[in-house]
Amino acid sequence: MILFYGMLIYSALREMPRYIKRKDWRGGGIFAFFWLTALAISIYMSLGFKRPLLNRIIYNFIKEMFPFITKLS
Amino acid sequence: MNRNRLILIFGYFLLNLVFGTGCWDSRELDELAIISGIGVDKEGDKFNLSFQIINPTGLKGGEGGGNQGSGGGGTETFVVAQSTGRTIFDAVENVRNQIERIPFFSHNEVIVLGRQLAEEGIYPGVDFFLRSPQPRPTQWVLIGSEKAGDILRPKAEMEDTSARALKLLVDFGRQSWVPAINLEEVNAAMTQKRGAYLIPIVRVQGDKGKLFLDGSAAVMKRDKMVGEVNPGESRGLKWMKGEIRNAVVVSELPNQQGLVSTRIFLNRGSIKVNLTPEGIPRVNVYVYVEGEIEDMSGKFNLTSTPGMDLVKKQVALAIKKEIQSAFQKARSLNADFINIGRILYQNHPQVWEDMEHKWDEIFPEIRAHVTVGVSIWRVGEVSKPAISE
Amino acid sequence: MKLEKGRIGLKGTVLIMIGYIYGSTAILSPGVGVGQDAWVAQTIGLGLALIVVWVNTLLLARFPGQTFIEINERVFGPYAGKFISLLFLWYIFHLGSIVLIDHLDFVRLMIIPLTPAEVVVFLGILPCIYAAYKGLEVIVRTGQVLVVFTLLYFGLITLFQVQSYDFANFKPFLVTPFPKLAWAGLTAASFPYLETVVFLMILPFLNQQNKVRVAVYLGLFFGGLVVIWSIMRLILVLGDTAVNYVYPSYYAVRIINIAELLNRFEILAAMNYIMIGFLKVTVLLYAAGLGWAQLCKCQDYRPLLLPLGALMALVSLNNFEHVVGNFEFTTQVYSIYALPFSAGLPFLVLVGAWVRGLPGKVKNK
Repeated sequence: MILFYGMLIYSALREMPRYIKRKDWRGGGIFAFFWLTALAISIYMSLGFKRPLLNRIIYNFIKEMFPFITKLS
Repeated sequence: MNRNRLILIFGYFLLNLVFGTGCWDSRELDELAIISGIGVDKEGDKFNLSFQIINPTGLKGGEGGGNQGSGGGGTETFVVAQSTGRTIFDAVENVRNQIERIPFFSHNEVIVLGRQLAEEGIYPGVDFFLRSPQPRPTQWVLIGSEKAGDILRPKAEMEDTSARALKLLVDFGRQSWVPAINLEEVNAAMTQKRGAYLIPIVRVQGDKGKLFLDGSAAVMKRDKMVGEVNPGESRGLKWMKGEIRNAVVVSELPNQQGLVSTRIFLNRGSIKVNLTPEGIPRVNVYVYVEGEIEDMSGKFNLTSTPGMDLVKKQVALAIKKEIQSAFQKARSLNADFINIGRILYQNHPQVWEDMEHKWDEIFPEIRAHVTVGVSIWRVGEVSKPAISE
Repeated sequence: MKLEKGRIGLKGTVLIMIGYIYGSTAILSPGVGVGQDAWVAQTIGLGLALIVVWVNTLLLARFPGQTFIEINERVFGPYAGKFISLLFLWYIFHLGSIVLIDHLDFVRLMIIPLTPAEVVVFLGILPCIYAAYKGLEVIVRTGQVLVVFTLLYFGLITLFQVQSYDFANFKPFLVTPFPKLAWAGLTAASFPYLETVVFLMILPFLNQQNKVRVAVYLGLFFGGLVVIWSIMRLILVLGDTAVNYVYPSYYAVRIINIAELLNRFEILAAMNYIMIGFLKVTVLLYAAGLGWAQLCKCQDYRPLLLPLGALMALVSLNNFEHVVGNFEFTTQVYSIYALPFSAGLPFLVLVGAWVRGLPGKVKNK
């Protein structure tokens, strides 16, 4: 996980001054959004919680909606 | 800018060097125990694994053929370690208690399964080797006549390890008698619900302990051994599959005119399953072989076409006998190792659907019609035997 | 304000489309569940896909030189358009994370089983970010080399496997019940063929805009041929045991053994899978980055790639609990999940454009 922190810190150090210099607030905003989300997930994962398993949720949801899949595949 | 990029790329490669080749997965050669043969036995409800491990310091290398291994004072070329466990992997891990290196399966040549295991079901014994990415799917699978551990113990006289010798025996034997089967093929054969297959049996002979691999084989149904076939019967199967590359057929000439031995070097075979109007499967086997006469004991004069025709007829008869004996054995064991069921399924899927559940009753009733075509091209350097009239 | 100034050629586009389609199919071998009829299912899938991508080509012909995000905005206005774009971007982002974990799971399972997933994923995403950062022209140029290499490898393996081909494995022909076959065909259409919807973000940069249709169809058709042949090869070599293996095509390469001399090709296969996975993830990451930048009207898409790539890698780690979940997802629900995005969205936008009569005839050319 430390690698991901390194990557995020590197990108922040590299890009934030440029955004400020260019006054590209929209770009900076979306950059910050991704950056913070990635940071949040990294922290979440490195704290050792159970992983959210995104596709499991989609899988269960679609399986409920279309029960015929089990028969076909 | 350019230098920055260089540093980035360099850093990436450095990262790969550190992590990619693996702090976690790096195995240096001197930490590995290279396994050349594995024996799997079952004792009670435990597995007993024998590893034949190459001892690199004992290998002769290319030092002008100086044979220290058999000199008595030299080191052994291989060691056999044994361990027990409730599962195969358990046993593999337990062997670490006695050997100081990491077992490495990539260069394994043969898996020998003990007879006890074969009778109780081989799947638990081979699953680990199918699942793990290290062992090759192309290694030969054999069944030991007694304990698999005993097969791996005797020293090979000319090869460094006896597993290597065993592999070479299979490589040669599969041209004629031995129904050799590798790990992937065993797995494929086990998926056949109604079929059967053969795994060659290896035994140790003599007091010096010599490996011996004739064509006798275990008949397996799913993963259990149900019987045994003799060399002629297993070769009968191989004729039908067209697998013979170098085999000797000894056939008798009529009126006690002696024996003639023919080397067969080309073999084509096909098994056709037709249905009679009543819906009973009928098997037609077509086999074609080409060969040459190698040796003849008798006064028979070969310098005529009718003479050659007679030899051809006798060769065909001998081959036919082997094929019919294979069918006979399959029927008596009720084990479809000729895979007629599968051929039926491939060509008449609807018929097979009706028959599948009662295949055990239908199969012993199936009769085969065998046609053998023989071509003999050469007779060697003698055309007319000196003692012929 | 143009975010991407690069222009790409027809040949390169077709080649990376082939690589993109072959991509994760090389590893996962979809449709082996229907046994010897898997190739029929693949053919049905390709046929379906060839019909469906007609929509994409029409869309691109209506709005030459504009990416899907820009088209959305013009057709549906700022709010509804942005919403549709968000759905699309979510799909390609999520697809990227799935593809990433498909390939790196393979690497983890077969090559370096003890290395933690985080490290493998991190090392896997870095070159993708770098390539996407360099822009479209670089991706296509790299892709060309990699795809040509892949096709060479493909031919080589085809040749080496000849001795284990068993044509009886194709029999019996078409015994799978029709609903099952149709479902397998639908699955095949959505994975891999309709994943090419991401090229709605890339084809606008083709240097000959009148050749877009040619590019789409050539890429899809040849990519489909490669996939169908790879599935047929699998059936020829492994027969109905293909379902028994996690990575059947890798297994089929492992059993190559020609005269004890030509064997152990699996590392070549593994290298190939990694390369082709890199290409696919790069294309998806690039499209996602460019799409987000266009959506938010940023001045540059490149700074977004690092956090977006990190996010993709992190999401990919949170996709599946184990490799079995991955297979369940891919074979059972993926098509239902993906079809609304990959076939539904372009269709919706095309209908919208048609109803609103866009683009106006005056503005054209």
